[in-house]
Amino acid sequence: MNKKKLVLVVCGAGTLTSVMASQGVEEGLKNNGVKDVEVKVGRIDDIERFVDRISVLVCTMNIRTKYDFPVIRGTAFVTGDEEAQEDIINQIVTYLKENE
Amino acid sequence: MSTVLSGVNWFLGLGGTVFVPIIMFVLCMIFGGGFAKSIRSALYMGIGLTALNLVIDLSVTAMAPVTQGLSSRLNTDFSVIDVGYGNVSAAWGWPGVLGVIVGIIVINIIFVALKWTKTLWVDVWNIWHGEAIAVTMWALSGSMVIGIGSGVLLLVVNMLLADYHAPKFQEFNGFDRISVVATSATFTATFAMFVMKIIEKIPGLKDVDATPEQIKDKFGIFGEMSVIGALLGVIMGIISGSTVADTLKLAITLSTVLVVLPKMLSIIAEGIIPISTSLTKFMKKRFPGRELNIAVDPAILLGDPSVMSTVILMYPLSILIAVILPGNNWIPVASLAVMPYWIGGMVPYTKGNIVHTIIVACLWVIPATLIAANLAPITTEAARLSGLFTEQIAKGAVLTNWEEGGNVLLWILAKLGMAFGL
Repeated sequence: MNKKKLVLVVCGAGTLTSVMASQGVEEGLKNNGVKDVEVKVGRIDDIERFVDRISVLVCTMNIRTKYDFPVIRGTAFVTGDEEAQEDIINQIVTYLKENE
Repeated sequence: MSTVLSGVNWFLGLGGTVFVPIIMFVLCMIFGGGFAKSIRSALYMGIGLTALNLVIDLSVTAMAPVTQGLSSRLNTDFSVIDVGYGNVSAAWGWPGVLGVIVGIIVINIIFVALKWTKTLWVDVWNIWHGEAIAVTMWALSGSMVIGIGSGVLLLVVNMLLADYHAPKFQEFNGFDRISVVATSATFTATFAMFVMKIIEKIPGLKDVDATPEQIKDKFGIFGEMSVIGALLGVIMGIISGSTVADTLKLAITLSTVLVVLPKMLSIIAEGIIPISTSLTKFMKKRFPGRELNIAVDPAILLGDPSVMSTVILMYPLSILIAVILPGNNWIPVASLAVMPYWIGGMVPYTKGNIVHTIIVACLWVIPATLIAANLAPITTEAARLSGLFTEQIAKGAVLTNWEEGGNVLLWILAKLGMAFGL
């Protein structure tokens, strides 16, 4: 597999809250020294397009559909809850390591 | 004094794509965002506004001949062009933009300090709703004070409605400590609450049900913006009597508009997010230990599967409503992008029941469309005064949209203003 691992960050419109969360995720991964991961922003209907590539899905709302990859809620990046943000980053880092 | 005034005029004369980034830079610095973030924030704001104008210009140019064709073929007036979220550009780019931002943030701080509200207004993006009302009322009255006052009034109403609906939104979507201050959710939620009180009294109707999963599977790609745009282009091309070549071109153009427009809004959002995050930190520091709801974008309300299913059904239904509605003069195309947010505000009260949500949404679309039709001349004037689409407007294009061109509070304020001779 040459392709980078993908963390897809989605919200209802791919406009605002997903961008906020993706900026947080990118910064968090960088601070944790995680490299070679692509962080992508999208809408809920983009999930289907990337379904084969996603390592971790981060969403800013409550997704009820079940997927094969872990789904993490990234609302903390929207509300500015810093403790919860650290938790999210740690979860993503753990999942990405398990995936190696 | 006259030097100051001419300085201000020069500054505003630079146009929204220049003076708004400068204002944003200063705001971001004040809230402690730092130099690098503030510069980036300012530039993205300018880039986003410029890019948004490009796309809307494309849409208006493509739609102008079609709306004329539709009008003559259907023998009804459908000459008004839908700019959808294009007015976001007028909203952020009008001369009084700072007045509304400072107005609502100061009022919010006062209300929080006095414990009159639990909503901490850190959602800078959705201040645009107030700016849209403000620029329109400014266009109508010529008075900056009336504009800013009307805009702030809408935002204060939204803040109080956000308080009221917060428990319901939190419970239905499974979130804590958030509230939503955008008109697209607060007004629709209020409307849905009242309509549901009636629906719950009608035997038979109150018990109907349909599961959302079935609908989404059945319609598949027809829920995607690209397909909806192309399909609408083909249908409108055929009805308006365009040539095959023009019809196909229209299909691709509308598809482009519906897919690209949200990305442009997203660039503006990238400029605003650093200010929002800095403001969140700034405000949290000043109110430690208080149980407050953080204002967030209505996008977080779209997770329930019933939302997108209802939205797919509402696209054709709302166009149908617009076509048969007496006294209507426009057909929603670009404005369809508002629908997910509207439905997201309604479902917490309809509990995701699709039949109920559709009834509420249809009843909501009717007044919104008629108000937008009625206010089209003022919406157009607001765009012209902000320096948008001036070429098309000079050629006689009249513009409107659902949000905020179809806002009921704007309509009341505009009618009041007219009654007092504005």
